Amino acid sequence: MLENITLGQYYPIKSPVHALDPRVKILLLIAYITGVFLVPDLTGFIIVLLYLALACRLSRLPFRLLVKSLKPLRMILIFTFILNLFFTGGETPLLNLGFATLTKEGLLNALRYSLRLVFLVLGSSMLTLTTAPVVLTDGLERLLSPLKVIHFPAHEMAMMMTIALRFIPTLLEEADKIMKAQSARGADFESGKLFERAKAMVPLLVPLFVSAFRRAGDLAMAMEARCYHGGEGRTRLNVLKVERRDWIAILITALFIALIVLEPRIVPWHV
Amino acid sequence: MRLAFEHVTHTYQAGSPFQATAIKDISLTINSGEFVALIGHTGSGKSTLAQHMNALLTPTEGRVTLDGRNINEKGVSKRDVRQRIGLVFQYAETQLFEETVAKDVAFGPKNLGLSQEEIDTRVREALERVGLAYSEIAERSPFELSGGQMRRVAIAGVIAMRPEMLVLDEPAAGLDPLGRQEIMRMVQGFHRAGTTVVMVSHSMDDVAETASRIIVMDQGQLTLDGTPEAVFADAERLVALDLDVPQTCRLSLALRRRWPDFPMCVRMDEAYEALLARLKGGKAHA
Repeated sequence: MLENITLGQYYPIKSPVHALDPRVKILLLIAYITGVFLVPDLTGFIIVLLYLALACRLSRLPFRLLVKSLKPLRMILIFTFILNLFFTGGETPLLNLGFATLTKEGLLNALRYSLRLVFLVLGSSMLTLTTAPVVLTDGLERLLSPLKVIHFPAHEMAMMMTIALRFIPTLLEEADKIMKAQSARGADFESGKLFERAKAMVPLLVPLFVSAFRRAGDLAMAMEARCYHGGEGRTRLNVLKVERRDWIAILITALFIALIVLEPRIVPWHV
Repeated sequence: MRLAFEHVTHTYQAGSPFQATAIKDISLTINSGEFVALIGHTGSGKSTLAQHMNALLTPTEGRVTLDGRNINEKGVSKRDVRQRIGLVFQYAETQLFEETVAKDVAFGPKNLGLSQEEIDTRVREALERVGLAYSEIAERSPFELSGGQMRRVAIAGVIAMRPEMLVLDEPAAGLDPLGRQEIMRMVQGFHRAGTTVVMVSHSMDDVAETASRIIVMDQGQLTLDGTPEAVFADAERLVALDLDVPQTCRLSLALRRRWPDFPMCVRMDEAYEALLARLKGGKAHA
């Protein structure tokens, strides 16, 4: 019943983008986001599109998967577009609707802000689609570890995230099983008024909590039995290494940022 | 009652990179009064098959019918199907949630919309049938019971709906030998009282003594289907398929090395008789 819920979005295939160092990928995403915000005019978005298309090609992801990540945002996108369209003001009217005037500035602004949002989401999805959640937290831990100087618990944070991510599928499976078991006893999770539906969740949630606490206890015991004592002095199984392909990716991204910054000087027209 | 599978295939997460076909083109019929044992390795599709029996899963292809009607059709009440065909999940004790044992067992009958009086009788009866004393256990919290007791309470929760057919997914999993034996005896009791039983198991010994029919699954398909005698007659082939056979069959196979005409025994008393006859008959040194 819950089988259509997938964890994050990770798409497990092999590609040069999947193989990149997660730290590099996170930093590249930050650079990309900065780039998207630096785009001076609409022409600049062509560069962003080309960059993203290249990444998509290299990652071997089906394009529709990337587009699907926009779906939850469609309302926000429509709002952004409409609000900017009518409330920007400006001097060059294109169309008078009576209650509001469409201006050239408004149209350009609307396009710019919506495109910016679209590209931000597409870029972030690129990261989560090509990086397994556990690898991602690993990268995050390494990136945050300099903050240990100010007593930021980078390792513990990452461990918590990893455990949480690790147990989402397990708990979903458990929830699915309990839901089925209660349905077999005639429970109905799908119909009824809001209050009835909330009440129908009790036979699902109580066993789920019981099992989650039991699992947490077991896991803590198993970790302690293997002398886990936090991040101090801990070495790692998979040491992250920046390799040639990472440098290539960094180079391409640097080029991308440079192009965006220089775009107004290269292209003669300004839209 | 007649439950029939017609070319049923089930694929999990079809169309995603995680898609997996659990059962393939399964056709079989289960009639009233049978005691069917469903056997196979982990991942052979036994549980998936079991969950099709009361419409918890819908076939990707093919159909499941109860007395001729497709149970996944729009007009068919799922609750009705699930009342007639009770399903006890593996590690069923994980579904307990109420404050008291009595309330938990009452969950099913309550969902059926029965009167309070009727619910009370059924709870009493169900607890007695799984071998628990109502007066001792009814008002206790299910979470303070032992593992074996919790399992029984969970089974009572399904029995209380008075199903015509009971599907049990590894009812004895994770219990000690004594607990296993008690559960097996209980299931036999249900069968003797007239309930059709389908029991998923991976222990051949559990089913050799009790089942009237054995279905062996391998990689999502039916490989063998017949009476225990018929299925185990070819014990050598089962061993070759890397499937377990009951101890009695293994013993028979071993004895055949000495007495090539030793019968293939499935039940313990059968093996005992055959061996005794052989030893008394003085053929031992032939």
